[in-house]
Amino acid sequence: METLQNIFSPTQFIPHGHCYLWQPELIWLHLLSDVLIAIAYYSIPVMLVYFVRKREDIPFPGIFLLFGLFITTCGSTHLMAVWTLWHPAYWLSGVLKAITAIVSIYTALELFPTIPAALALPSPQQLRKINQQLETEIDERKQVEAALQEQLKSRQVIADISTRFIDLDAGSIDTEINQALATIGQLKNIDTSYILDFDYVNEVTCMTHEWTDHNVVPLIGNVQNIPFKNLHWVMNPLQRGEPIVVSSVEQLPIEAAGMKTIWQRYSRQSLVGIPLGSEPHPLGVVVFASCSQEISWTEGDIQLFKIFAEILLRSMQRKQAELALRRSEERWQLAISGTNAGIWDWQIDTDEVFYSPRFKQMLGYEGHEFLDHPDEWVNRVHPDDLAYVQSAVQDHWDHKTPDYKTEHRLRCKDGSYRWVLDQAQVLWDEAGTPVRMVGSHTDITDQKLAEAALQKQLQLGKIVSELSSRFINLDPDDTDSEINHALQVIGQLEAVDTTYIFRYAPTDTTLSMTHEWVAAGHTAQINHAQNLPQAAFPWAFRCLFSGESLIIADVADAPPEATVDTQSWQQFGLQAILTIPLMAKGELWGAVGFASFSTVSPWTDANVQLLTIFAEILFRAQQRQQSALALRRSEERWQLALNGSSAGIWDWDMQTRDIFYSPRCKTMLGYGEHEISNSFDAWENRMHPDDIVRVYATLQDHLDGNTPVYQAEYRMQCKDGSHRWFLDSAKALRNEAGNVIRVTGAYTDITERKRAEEELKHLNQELEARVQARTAAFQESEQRFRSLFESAPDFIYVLDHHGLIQQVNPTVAEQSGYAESELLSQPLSNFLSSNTQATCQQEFADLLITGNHRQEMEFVCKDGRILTMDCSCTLVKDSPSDDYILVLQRDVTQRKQAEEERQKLLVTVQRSEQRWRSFLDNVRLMVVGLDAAGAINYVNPHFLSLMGYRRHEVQGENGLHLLFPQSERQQPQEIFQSLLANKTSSHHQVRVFTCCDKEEKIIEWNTTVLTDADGHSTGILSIGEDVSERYAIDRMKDEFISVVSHELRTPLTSIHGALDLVASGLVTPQSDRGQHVLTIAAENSSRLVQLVDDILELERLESGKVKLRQGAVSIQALTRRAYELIELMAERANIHIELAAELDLMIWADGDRISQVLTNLLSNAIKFSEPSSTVSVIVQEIPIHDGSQIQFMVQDQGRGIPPNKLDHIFERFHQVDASDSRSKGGTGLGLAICSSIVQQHGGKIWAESTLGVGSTFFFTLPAACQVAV
Amino acid sequence: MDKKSILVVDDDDGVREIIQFSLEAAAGWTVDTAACGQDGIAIAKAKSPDLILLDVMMPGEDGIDVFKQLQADPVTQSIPTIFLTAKARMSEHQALLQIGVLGVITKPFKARELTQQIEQLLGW
Repeated sequence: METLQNIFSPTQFIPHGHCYLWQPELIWLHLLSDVLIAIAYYSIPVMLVYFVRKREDIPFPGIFLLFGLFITTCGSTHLMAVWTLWHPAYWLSGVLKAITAIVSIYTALELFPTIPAALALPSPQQLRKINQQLETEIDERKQVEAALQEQLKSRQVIADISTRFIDLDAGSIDTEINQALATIGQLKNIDTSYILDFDYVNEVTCMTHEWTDHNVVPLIGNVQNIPFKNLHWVMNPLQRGEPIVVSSVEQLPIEAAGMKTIWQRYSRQSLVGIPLGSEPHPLGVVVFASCSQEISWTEGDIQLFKIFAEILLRSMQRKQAELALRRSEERWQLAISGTNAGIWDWQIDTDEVFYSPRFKQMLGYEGHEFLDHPDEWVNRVHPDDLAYVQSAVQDHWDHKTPDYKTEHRLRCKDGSYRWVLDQAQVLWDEAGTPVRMVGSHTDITDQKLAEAALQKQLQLGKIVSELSSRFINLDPDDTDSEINHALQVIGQLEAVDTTYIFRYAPTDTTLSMTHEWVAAGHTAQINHAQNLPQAAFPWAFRCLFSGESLIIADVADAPPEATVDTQSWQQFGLQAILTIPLMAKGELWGAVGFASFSTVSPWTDANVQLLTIFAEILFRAQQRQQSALALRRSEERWQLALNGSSAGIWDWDMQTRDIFYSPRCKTMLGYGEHEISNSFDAWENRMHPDDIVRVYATLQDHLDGNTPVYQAEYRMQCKDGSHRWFLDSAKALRNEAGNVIRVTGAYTDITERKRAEEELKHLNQELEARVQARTAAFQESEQRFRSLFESAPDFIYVLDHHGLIQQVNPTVAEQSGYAESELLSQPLSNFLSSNTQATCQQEFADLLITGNHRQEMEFVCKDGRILTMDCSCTLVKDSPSDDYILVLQRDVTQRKQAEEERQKLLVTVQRSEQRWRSFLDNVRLMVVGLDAAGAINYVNPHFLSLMGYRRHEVQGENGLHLLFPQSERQQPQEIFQSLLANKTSSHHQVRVFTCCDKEEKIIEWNTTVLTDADGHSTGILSIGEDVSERYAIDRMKDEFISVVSHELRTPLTSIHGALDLVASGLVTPQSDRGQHVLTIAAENSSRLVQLVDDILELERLESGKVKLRQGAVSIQALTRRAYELIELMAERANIHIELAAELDLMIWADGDRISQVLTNLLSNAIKFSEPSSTVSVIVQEIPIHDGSQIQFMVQDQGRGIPPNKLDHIFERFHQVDASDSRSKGGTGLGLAICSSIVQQHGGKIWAESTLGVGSTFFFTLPAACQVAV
Repeated sequence: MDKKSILVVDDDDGVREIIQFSLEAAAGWTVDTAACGQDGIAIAKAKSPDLILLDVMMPGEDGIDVFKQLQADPVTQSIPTIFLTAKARMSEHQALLQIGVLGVITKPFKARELTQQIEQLLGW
């Protein structure tokens, strides 16, 4: 405690106040100052700490904290100073100061390295600047982002548009283009976008598609047929394939004034036009325009528009291509509609089939009901034919057959089947894979039906005769089963569901079914069809009673009066009915019929006919059965009578000769017991005289022991005189010696049986007669067939199923030269040519399966002639074991020959066509064919090359539009029309314009009208010769003559006029004027003379009439001579001539002529030079590849010659300026003469010139003329 | 009859002078001459002559060009113009007449004939 007190208030020192002598003022001063400092010092760190806490981003927080600590300790030292005023705690105060010192030194040390770092901190200006930079960067980044966004959006739009254009059908393209224009327009925030189409024929453009923003007026109606020439400022770049980019229409250059006016009229402010397609003929241009503001288009915009234009172009080209394709398709359609056969074209790789309209029409289908797929056909092939057809296709694919040919049935739309002859050929690629199969369908249904009908007729005849014969002599017990069998045969033959027989019961007027056959799968009705009352079938009964047949194709469609019947039939599930009444003596006996449960059936006459015959057979059989049964019943009755002793009994005692007749015997004859005596005579007298002998013989036989029993049938006369039949049977009783002692017998009245028997016999006879008649009819038909067989002009064979000939008709023998015996039992193939044999044998196997075959074969006659036969084979199934093949061969040799001749003719025509074609292809004449409407249907290659078109550009186009611009079309149009109308030929010359550069050509046309067989004009064929060059030469000649005429007449005019003035006295020769005109006349006379001389000279030179007098000439001498000739003229004109001909060479030339050339050139140079100028002559030796040549140069400092005239100055009368020539006294022929002379020396002459500097004329003489001195 | 004023345009000095002398001597007309088309047009505008005799074949602008320019200018379009030509063929004459000139006179000619032809064409 004391220590603590010592520390805070020690006593060993004097309090500091003593130093201030406790003077209150001084004490207060220190006290207050120290306290205030302390307060301030303590508050500063608090704020510093607060500041550091709040601004953690401020660098160097440690320094701030150190400052805080240091200021706090400083504050404490000041508090200590207050304390020490009263308490001399100087140690404590010292320790506190020491702590302050440590802290402040540490702070100072820490501050030292911090200063540079603090100095490096950015100033507020710098910070502001950095800030601004940052902001700018952010802005830029935003812009880039926006641009990127926009680009992405553009890409999205473009992708969308191009996706939409894929697989678009041609019809929707226009709508889609309009939509796309709108999309792009909205995306780029412009006011309108549109497409202009270029029509190069009429040189106009039309707007075809347009989108406008809602505040912009659409222009599509106004912008039509705008001529190219109004748009040339944009057309030129567009045709080069370059885009038009106009950011400001207002600031367009002056040369675009025309476009500016147009655009401003439509308030266009900025626009971009992208050509659709490349040079030289883009299809059009797509334009994006702004009407409300100017837009500085960016590279990105242009790029987007270009991509869009590319998409548009593709779609438009596709549209054009599709249209072209459609046209070509139409031609193909035309081709296929021209034939009666249906055409099919199977692309095997894509499995698509083209079926021609005729193909579909044959089957009763409309175009869209039949898809382009092979299944459409496969599914319609008759199931029975499918396997055969498919194997035929496969065989052809496997090269087993040269072509595919089948006859099969195809289902029509109405469900019926039609027979078609299907012929086709496969196209294989190089690898041997089938790629395409093209074929034709011919409807052979009628032919097939006829064949089938014939077959059926034959079969029918056979069945009838078979049934008839089977019913003859049939045991009555077998009749029912036979009838059932017959019902089945007939039913199957006619392919009906059921056949049946009804029996009519007159007692209760009902019908009951007695016999029935039902096809497999159907239920028998016989149990239900019993005692059918008239009430249930009133109409049917009525028909049958009156002997009419019931023919009902469709029960649902039965006559209205049969309503009740229909209900009853429907209960039996019947769909179609054919029933024929069986009539006996005018009364209904029963009925026989066919019916169908499954389908409606249009019954044919053949059905009715067969059923009628069958009914008749059945009826007879039934009646016979009944008769037989009746007979049987009567026999039974007789047996009964006999057994029941109802018979008359007699007993003849041989010894007494008495005969006992039982009373029954007598009553049977109508006598009483006593009316007949018991004597032999009584019996004998009553016996029918015809029977007596026979009966006695029989009796005697028995009595002689030859027969075990006596039995005889004979007639006895009754009391009433009538005869009755009796069966008399008896047995003799013998004694042991074997002698007859008595005979006991019985006789029975069998009159009834006899009658039945008689009737049966009669019936049998009748039936037999009918059968005979039927057989005769059949035989007659057979006969007819036979006679057809015998007399047919065709070869007819009957082959067995091995292909051996069984029968031939006489025609074969007659025409082939073989005897019948040579043919029979031989295979038919033996008589065929070797190349037909193989196929024939192969086809034979098929024939046995398919039953039909048709092909062409070559038959070899005995004398070696080969007949081409159209052969049709039919397999006839008589009975399973007895098939035969009917072969019909028709000689088509002549037809073949005719065909071959036609083929030859065709080849000739083709060759001629080829010759004609090759002529057309190679001739240097233009050939063009127009149809009656003026459309081009033919052009030859020369036409195309001359006119610069490609074939597809002209084919089908209007020829007159193509060749002539609108303004010149009228005359050719008139010529064309008058040609067609008058059908004459014409010869005329016209100007035409070629495709691209619109070059003008003069064509001489020879035109012929083409007519069809009826003489109607179908078009024209024009052959044209390009006479442009000839025409140009003619024109040049004319021009030349005109120029010469002018050149000659001009001086003549002066001479003539001058002399006339003097001669007529209008001017007196002595007067000044007279003198003047005479001078004019004289001057022009010499000019005329000079001109004529020059013309003649030139003519002589050019026609080679002038021979060069060549010799060795010194070049120096030449130039010197020329100089001397021209010296005076030069002096007069004050021109200096400089000769630089240092070469001392000799040349081989006509010195006069060469010096004429030099003189001429020098005189020209002088004429066209200004006074005081210099004309130089330079001669040089120029080395050339095989020696050297001498080059003369005449150089002036005149005004020069325009470049476009340089080429022509050596032509006649082609001065640069004719007036110059005349004013300088020239004739316009000097240079032409020079040229001619130099050329005759084998040299060359030319000129070079710079306007305002001067001209240099060069000519060379080749080394061949050069001779060393 | 007024004294007619004629402008002769021809590039050939001789021909020009002969025509001038002929017309002055034979008809007493006042004659101005020009050696090229442009001079001719300038004189025609300045003096509005009663007739222009215009040579067809001239270097530079030919008579046809000059005539078209005269026709295009309202000041000169009503001045009757006759072509002078050395071309003698009828077909060539027809072609020239179709341009719209009053007549075509073929070189060479006699002084009196020339004036007579002119008078006839113009109905003087």
